[in-house]
Order: sequence, then structure tokens, then C-alpha cells
Amino acid sequence: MTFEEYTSWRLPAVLRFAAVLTGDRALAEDVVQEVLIRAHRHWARIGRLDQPDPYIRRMVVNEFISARRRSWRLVPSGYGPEVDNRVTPDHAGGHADRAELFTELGKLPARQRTVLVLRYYEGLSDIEIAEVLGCQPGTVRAYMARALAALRIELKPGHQKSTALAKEDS
Amino acid sequence: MRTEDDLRAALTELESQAPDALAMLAAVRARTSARQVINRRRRTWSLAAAAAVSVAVACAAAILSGAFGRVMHNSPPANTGDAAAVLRQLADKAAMQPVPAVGPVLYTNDARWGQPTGKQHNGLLDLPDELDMEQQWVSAAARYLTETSPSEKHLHGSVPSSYTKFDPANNPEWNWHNPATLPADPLALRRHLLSEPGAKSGGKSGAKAGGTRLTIILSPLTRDQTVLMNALQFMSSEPLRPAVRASMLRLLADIVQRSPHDFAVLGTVIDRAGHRDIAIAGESNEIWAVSALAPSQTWVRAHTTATQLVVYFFDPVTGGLRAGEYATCSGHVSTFAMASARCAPNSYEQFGVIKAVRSLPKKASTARTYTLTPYVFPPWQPVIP
Repeated sequence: MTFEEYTSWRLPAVLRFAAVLTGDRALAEDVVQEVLIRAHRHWARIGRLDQPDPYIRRMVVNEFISARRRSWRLVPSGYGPEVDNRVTPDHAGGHADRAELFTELGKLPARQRTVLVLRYYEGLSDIEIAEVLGCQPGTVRAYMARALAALRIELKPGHQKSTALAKEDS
Repeated sequence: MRTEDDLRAALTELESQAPDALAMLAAVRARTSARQVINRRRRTWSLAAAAAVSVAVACAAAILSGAFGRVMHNSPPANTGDAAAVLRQLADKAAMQPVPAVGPVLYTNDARWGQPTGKQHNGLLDLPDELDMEQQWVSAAARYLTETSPSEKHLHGSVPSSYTKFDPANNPEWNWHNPATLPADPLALRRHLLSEPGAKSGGKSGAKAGGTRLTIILSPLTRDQTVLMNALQFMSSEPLRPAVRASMLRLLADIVQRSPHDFAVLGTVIDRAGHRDIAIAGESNEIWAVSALAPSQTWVRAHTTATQLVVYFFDPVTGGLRAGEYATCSGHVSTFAMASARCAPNSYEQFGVIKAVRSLPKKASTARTYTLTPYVFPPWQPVIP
């Protein structure tokens, strides 16, 4: 699969994943752009993978986490809005708690938020999430517990998985 | 208390914040160097520029004094002769070199720098840099790759090592690449360079995405362009017999002679590894139009072409190819001498070690690389309107 074929086929799904992961359109743009530039450079290898999606997803996650880490490297350019561009969607559907949930999601540490997105948006297991993050499944469970507690999410047995990138396949 | 379904619904709602795919492709396109398109072989060299060689050389001088001067940080262009003549001189040098070992396995080790992004983050300018190192072993039976980014390894991760097995008896790609069987006769070599197995000469790919059809159009390569790109690929990755390298350089000289307006000698420069090289620049007009099929069924060109300048660094003693630098420019060679023309370097590649070895490694190699000079990126200059 060429880079062009991959982006034509999967880019919308990658962008949606990045948007959910970051909760910020501008940051999602930056993250995906960085990932695509890097993936393009390495496509001779990535394109030979049977499933480039997991690798690209991992790149997106790494870029999201590292984007927060390297914020100290930013150099003032002297212009531009110094505002928080975090998105707070409109909730006309009557979900009174939704705005507050978005705010609390935005305050989560990057890894905790990533774990939530990979579980509840991507539908990955603890082991799969651990592979993406390069940590142990136990660590994933710890992140998950802290994040759910911070968001005051009540767990119910046999939770339902959802997928996003997989939806594109259907 | 909230439920997991609340969380799931909230996350799904954030999908609506997904950036526009077309704009993303255009942005990626603008930041992607020509060498990176389909394994570095899809660069389309412009054969129709109307500028004279003198204009190209003047422009090269202007580039060297501007943004490029920071990259090729030494020596203004000393040799303003014609590129075809210089390539033939390099061919003569190459022909006199000792015969290298051409063993069962080819090994290459090179380093590449990424480009400045020029991105704005809430009013702040991000200044990242990136250094990648790649080791590759290739034989008739397998290919082994490792790639690391020492500068930001822990932030971005590394492309994992990969080990791919082939059927040695049925591996046309290896047969085509095997330097032991490359013909030295120029005509036979040209035919060989034109016969790459599975090579695509262009086309387009597309997919429906949210009511809009995205299509990336790759312009077809001419025969000269194919020969040029494949020859440079061989020289950057495989140990060549002296006669073969000399023939490749002479084939390049012939191509340059047929379209002299697109090439210029930049003279003697110091590359990033500190070698004194001869630099030859060429204009690469890569067509990478992104079109959108709107609901009205009308094709709209969303992004047009950008000029890519490619600079190759040759060892003046051996004729070997040592490095390549890539830049995006605001116009064709003919406009480089104008004040409005700008070039922004976006990547650089140093071909460090190219040799034959006895076998593929069985696990990740910790073999080292070479020392490179610190890299200071020049200020980003937006060049795409």
C-alpha cells in the first residue's frame, strides 16, 4: 500500500481519532500533520506492514503525549492568540453534564486520557492499550482507574466496546 | 455518577472536531520533500523550464547566500561550469576507483534530518528537529531494517526493526538491485534502470471520504526521469563496480545535457559530515495535485504544484554520492534570481556507509553510526502561497 493510498483511504478515520484523543481541533491538526510527515518519510517500512493502522495509531498517541511534554520547547513568536482553543461542543441534545465532562476530560493527564480514548472510543483491550503505550497492562488498569475516578464514571459489568477506525472497514 | 455510555457518547461527539482531510493533505504535501514520495523514486524532474544556465547558477548563488547558506554553510559556489561536464569528470574519477567487494548482502547506513515545521501553537513557534538513522541489510533471501531517532527516541519512538524473508529463487527485485549483475555498458545500464520490476509510472489514487472524493495525482515519469532517479537510488544505497558507477554518472550527464536549464553546479561545499563535496542542484517539479470531487461532481484542483530543488553532493575524488538536500521553492529555476523567489530547505540525507557484508544480522544491531555536525535549522520561510 502506498502512502497515497493509505491517506486516501484512512486519513478521515485518523483525523477523527486524533480529534477525540486531543479534544482540540488545532492540536489534532498538528498531531496528525506531524505523524503523516514522519510516516511519509518512513513509508518504505510502514507500508510493508500488514496493518499500518495500529502503527499509525501508535504514532498519533506518541505525538499527542510528546506534544504536551515538549511544550517547554516552544519559543514565543510575538503574535497570535494566547487563548485556550480547547473545544467545547454545543450540546443541544439536552446532555446537561456533557460540557462539564469535556472540561474534566481536558484536564486529565495525557496518558490517562489516551487510555480512556483507546478503551471507550477505539475499543481496545488492556493488553492492546499497553502495546500502544509501551507499558504493562497493570499500568493501563491503573491509568484507567484514576481517569474513571476523576471523571466520576461508574463502571458496569460487561461494558460494551466500540470501534472507530474499524468502522471504516465496514 | 456518570456511566461508561456517557463517556463513550462524549468521546464520539468529539469526532465532529476532526480537521478537514483535504486541508491536511495539502499541508502535508507542502511540507513533504520530493525525495519522500514513493521510496524516493517518484520525483519528477522538470524538463521544460525556460531559464538559461546562467540564470540557474545566479539563482543558486542567491540561494546559497540566503536560507541555503546556513545549510551548506561553507564555500560559495566556486565552480559555475555546466553540470553535464562536471558529471563526466566525476565519471572519470569513479572509473579509476578500486573494485569494492560485492558480497551476498548489501549494507547501508545513513542519517537524515527532518525539516523545521514553522507551525504555530497558540501564538508560539515550534522549532523541532529530528535526526533519523537507518541501517538496512538486503540479500536475495531477506531484508532487515532498523531505524532509530536518537534525538527524540523516547518521545516519538522508533520504526521497529523488521525482518522480511523472500524466496531467493523468485525475487525479481533483488535480481534488479543486485550490483554484481549490473551491466557496465551505458546502453545496457539505461535499459536496466528502465526495467525496475513493479515500477509505477504515475497515476492516481482516491477514496470517498465524507461526501468528498480525495484524489492524489502523481505525474508520470519520463524515461529520463526514471533513469535519473534510479541511478541516484543505486548510488545512494549500493556498492557499485567502478565501471558501473562511471556509466551511471555518464547517463546522468547525458540527461543533464538534454535539459541543461534544470541543473546547476553549486561548486564546492562542505556537507553535514564535514566532507568537501561538489554540489549539483536540479529542479524537481513534482506534480502532486489533490483534487476534490464535490457533490456537484465537478473536479476542483485543491492544491497545485510546488517546485522542489534537489542538491546532490558528490565526492570529487571518487565520484561517489555522499548526500542529498531537498528544498521547496516558490518558483521555477527561472524565477530564483528574482527577489520574490524563496527556497526553504526541508530535509537532508547523508549516505554514510554503503558496503557488502557476509550475512544479515539475526537481531537488532547496535552498530554505530558516524558523527555528524550539529544542525541548526534556518528560519522557516513559507513558500507555498
